[in-house]
Amino acid sequence: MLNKVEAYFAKVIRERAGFLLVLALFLLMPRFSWRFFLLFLMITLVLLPRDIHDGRIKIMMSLPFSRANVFWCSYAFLVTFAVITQLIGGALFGISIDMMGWNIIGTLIFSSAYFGVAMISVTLGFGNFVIPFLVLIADSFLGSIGKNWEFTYNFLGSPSGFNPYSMISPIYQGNQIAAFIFAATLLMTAYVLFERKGTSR
Amino acid sequence: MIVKVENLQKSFCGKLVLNGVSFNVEEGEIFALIGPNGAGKTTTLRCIYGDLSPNGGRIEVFGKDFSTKIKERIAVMNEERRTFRRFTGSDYVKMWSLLYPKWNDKIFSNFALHYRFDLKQRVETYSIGMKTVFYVALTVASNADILILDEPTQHLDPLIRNEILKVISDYAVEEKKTIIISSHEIYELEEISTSFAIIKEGKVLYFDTVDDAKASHRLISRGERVQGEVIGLVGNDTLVKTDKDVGRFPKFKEIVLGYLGGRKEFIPF
Repeated sequence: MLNKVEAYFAKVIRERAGFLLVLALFLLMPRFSWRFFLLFLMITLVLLPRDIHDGRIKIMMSLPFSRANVFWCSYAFLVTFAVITQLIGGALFGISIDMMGWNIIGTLIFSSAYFGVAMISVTLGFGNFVIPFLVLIADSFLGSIGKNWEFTYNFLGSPSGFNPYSMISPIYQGNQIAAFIFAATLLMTAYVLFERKGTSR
Repeated sequence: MIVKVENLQKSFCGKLVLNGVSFNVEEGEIFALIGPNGAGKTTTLRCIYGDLSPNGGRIEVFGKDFSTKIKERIAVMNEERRTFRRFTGSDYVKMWSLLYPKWNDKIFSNFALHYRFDLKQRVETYSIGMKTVFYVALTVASNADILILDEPTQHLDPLIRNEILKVISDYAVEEKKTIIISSHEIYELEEISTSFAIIKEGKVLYFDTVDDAKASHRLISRGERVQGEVIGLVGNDTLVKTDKDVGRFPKFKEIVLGYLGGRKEFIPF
């Protein structure tokens, strides 16, 4: 299995070295506000969703990879890349371990959710970028409405302006546990769908 | 039996592409899957190596239901010769040697020297013929128990084509490996294949060993009395399946043409 992971990682790095280098430079900045958007670009334009869209998944499948192998290797690459750049950036810029920990958890939630969204979209034949991008816009809009904490009450004592979606939003993550469960559900749905349906062409 | 395909069905967006494909491949055989473009050859192969999930039917490889664990024992050359972006020849060698436990560097080096592969050059920039030879080299050097070769001689010049056919044949005979070839080049398949299946419109019309197929068919000239099951027309003659000693024994290509052409005659004038 380690050979497969090594082969997959080597393939991604070799094919997209330039793009990954630029991404890494930006992701090293700990408080870089476009971090999630860059991760989104990586998911949709570098990893498995792009390979499926381009038909290059056929090359992987003609090698000793199963669908589960390529799915989880691609996800593992994403997680490794996101976490390592965050750790290095945190160390370089002197970010506290607590802060770094929360940032990493947030990044993992976002990455898992949007890897799931992109995979669901491309597996169902809707492409690797446009639909996930619309989901990203909808997510950023819906999550921004109202308030994302539960302790705001109006004068009648009922929650005021509380937006439950912001709790699970992969961008806003009002409640990290709820957002994690939502992201994991998207990721597992994508996996099951890809495993059963495979590529449509 | 090393590969057993039973009643395989596959559809894309509701369109049936494979409709009950069945055949067996024995160990050490060179099995040819023959048919016109769009017959379902590549789809059948993709189902065998697990790229596509069939909608119905069963595939057994090495006597067990297909599982991804056995993919290390299968090396594939796909029809489109797609390559990874920016991968040089050396990158490919490294990747294949990681993925195939029985990878043989010496065999690959022999190919590289003979065909002068530039291993520092990106494979995507190789000519289509060179890509084909490169893929043949990778699959043979993988030392896999089953080679699946989709149109392995496409885009090759006659000399290299001849060499590659010999390599494929020797690999099966000397190394006792099984090879499944998809092609519509029936003339060259006759030289190397030991068994075959004729596939058309997603159905296997006939499968057998080459020797048994020749023994169980006859070609009857016009005017001769037809005895046996009429299969199709081959030029002015009729291909029949019979055990009677009539007409003459057909050649391999005549059997294929008889099955593929059927009883329809094309008369443009």
